[in-house]
Amino acid sequence: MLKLATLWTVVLTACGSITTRDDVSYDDRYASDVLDVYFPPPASTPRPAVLVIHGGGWHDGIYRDSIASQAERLAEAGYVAINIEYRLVPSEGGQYPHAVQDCYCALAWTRANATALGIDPARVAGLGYSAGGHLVSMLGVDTDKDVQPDCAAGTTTPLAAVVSGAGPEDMAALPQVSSVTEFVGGTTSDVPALYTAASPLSHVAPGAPPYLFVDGNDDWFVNIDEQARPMQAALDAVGAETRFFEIPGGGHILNSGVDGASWELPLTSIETPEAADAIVDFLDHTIGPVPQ
Amino acid sequence: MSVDLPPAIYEQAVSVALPSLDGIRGVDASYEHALAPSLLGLTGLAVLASGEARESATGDYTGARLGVGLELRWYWRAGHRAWLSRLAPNNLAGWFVGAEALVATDLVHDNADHRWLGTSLQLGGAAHVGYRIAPWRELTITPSVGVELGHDLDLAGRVPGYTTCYPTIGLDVGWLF
Repeated sequence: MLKLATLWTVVLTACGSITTRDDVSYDDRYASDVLDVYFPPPASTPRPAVLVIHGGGWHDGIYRDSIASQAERLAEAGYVAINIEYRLVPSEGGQYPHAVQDCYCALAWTRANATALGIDPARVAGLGYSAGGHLVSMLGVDTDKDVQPDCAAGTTTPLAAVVSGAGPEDMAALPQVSSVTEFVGGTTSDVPALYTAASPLSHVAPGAPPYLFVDGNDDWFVNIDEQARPMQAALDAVGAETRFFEIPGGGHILNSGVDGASWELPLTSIETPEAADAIVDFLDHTIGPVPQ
Repeated sequence: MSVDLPPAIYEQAVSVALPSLDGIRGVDASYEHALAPSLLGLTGLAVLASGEARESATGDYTGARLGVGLELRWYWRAGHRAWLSRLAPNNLAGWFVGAEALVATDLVHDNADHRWLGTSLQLGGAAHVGYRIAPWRELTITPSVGVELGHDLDLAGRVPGYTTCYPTIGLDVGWLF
């Protein structure tokens, strides 16, 4: 729960309109399970919110500061943005399903604290990149009991909308690199059932929320033909609303920024200038509008 | 009877940026012209103008990107023969540093809902260091690294501005004349 006196750190951004509360614990059992909340200016009606989940191969070494600029940008667009940390492999015990459970716990915490946060609990979307794209995608479709958390905030329902940037949707189709095998708990031949359970693609069912996929078509790690495209087809088949924002020549962390004459490194697909319009528009049409 | 001709000094170059061809949906091309040493009191100075046009989104969207850039380059060892090059000294080859100003615009269309999502403007600046070689005739190959600072502005005002600052990797192929 919010311990306002001790946990609130208010930081004014350069434009002076966004405030943040940093390092709020959403599950006291794990030191890693903290989040930062980015608030737009106060409004007379509850705001929609976006759970922001960073990537990094589910592996320690890359944390939520890597996606903080996206959380700040969403807050500037009128959404309360909640940038979460979760248990990572190998040092924090983030092996599947723990990281997914943590993200569900953060979602449950967000909804349980909706009044204090000034948000509408029915209008919480998720945005993530890479491993974070996988986790938000799991929070969109996986309602199985094995991923529901046992944290104080209890269980909850899936996200109201999902923005998955280069998110793995079929874990068995990923390259068998160490971060994948450490996260799932073995190779595809060792633990095939876990690869299925950890894949958003295997959980698609009627009632799935709207999805926006933001992917480069030159992504060597999260191949769109093996990941986002089959996921979109599966969602379309059950009647979910989907959009696919494909960046020609875009890679996993190698994209063109302001100047198309060079590659910027690391620049993710959701950070490219062309993706911003689509992301905000998608959120406005699914969990918006934002109060002025 | 043979006559010794003076070594050719090329004052112009055209180049294509290979990263812009990634995805085969656009191109970034540039034209470079050497500046007279008397202009700023330095030898090896050149000005480079570039233009970019590419498809920036596909799938359920259509995106188009147009951009221009203007760069001041200094080949600080222009008086020396460049490594791996058959050119005489005082050509547009060898080590260089550059400072560039960039302007680009993006248009994005939602093909499913048949509507324009908006137009954004990107303003940026970049600093490069690179090395141009001319291994065959007037052909040039120019790898470079640099830092690029950019800021996106949504002209409709809905999408907040966003500033990026990243290292860059460049690779151009061109021709001197």
